[in-house]
Amino acid sequence: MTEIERLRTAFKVTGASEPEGHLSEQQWESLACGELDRGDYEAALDHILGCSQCTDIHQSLLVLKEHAHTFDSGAPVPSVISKPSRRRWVFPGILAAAAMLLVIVFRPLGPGLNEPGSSTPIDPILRSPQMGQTATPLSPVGRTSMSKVVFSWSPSPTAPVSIVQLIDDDGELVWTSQETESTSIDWPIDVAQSPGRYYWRVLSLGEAGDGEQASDLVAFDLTEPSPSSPP
Amino acid sequence: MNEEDFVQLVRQYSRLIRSAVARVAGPSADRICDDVEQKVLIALWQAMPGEQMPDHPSSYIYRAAVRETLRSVRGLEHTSEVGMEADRADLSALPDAIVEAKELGGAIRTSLSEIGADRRRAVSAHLAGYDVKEIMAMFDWPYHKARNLIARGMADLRRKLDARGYRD
Repeated sequence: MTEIERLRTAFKVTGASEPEGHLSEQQWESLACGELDRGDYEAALDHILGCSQCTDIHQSLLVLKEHAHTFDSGAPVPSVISKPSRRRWVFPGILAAAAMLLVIVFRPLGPGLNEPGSSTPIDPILRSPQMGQTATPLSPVGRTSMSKVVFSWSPSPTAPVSIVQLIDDDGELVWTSQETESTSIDWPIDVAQSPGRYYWRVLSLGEAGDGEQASDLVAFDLTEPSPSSPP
Repeated sequence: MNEEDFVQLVRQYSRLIRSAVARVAGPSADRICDDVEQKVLIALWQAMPGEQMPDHPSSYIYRAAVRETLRSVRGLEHTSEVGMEADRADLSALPDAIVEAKELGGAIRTSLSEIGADRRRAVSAHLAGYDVKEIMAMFDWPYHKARNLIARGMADLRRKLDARGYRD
């Protein structure tokens, strides 16, 4: 059990439900529809965060609210579906440009991973300019068979929270993972796999809130599974 | 909205509520959520108005879905597989582990009461299992404010736990 799991378990087992302060059905409905005034809303949140039963209810209602508006025009739209900072929106552009530059710079150094006649594959790890206390991508690197692709890395010693970014061969950021304290994450189910080159890296988020440390950018070539491979 | 559209909406909501309940149902989610989906489908169907369709049937059904989600999650608390029982099972059913977790939990809550309101809320939400996007939405914080409050609040919490003798 990791430290954060231990803290979360301990936090939850002491958040016993108390009959007093529970939200009524009407209050839950108002909360889910964004109809509580500021004071009532904050009081409700304070109770929810201190009560494990109400936390469960609230987290379920968040799932409902996050998705209902996608098929029901009468459902409220979440106030923040995604509110990344300006820096985060600028970042993919910079990353895409950097990826393109790295491709241009490094490809002439040797044959590409998939290029015909290649006998000495290039080092798939493309050095980023920022070195130091960063995560270390472990897998996938180089030639990788499609199907179950799992990103795994060794975390930064100083920043256990990680975000994985996946970039396609055009330098387009195709996926950014949720923040995780794990050291592996599956290929996202909503990103279709197609043969070709991809790049990925890990952003490590420091506890001190001092920004993100990017790992090396790692290249891998997604290939069709060989006919002899098990399904 | 015709009846066919309404039926389709009900089915979409019953599947969504199943997913919503699965988030908190723990390891028995698959078995429990089959039942939940069926119950919700019936309940939403029964909530369908008679001959008089409301002016905004979709918002009407959303509110009904909120109530059914609420009732389904409350219903989970009465099963032995989830809720506090599951938390205890996570602790390998060892009495010592439960006692230790309760002591640590008490220290966490005492420590949280000693830090600033925003950091306390951020850390409480983080420990309760909300992700950053949800915390941003709950408190209307921009991304970096949410991240910083969590990080600094967690640092505060660790210092206070260290001072109370709860070291890793």
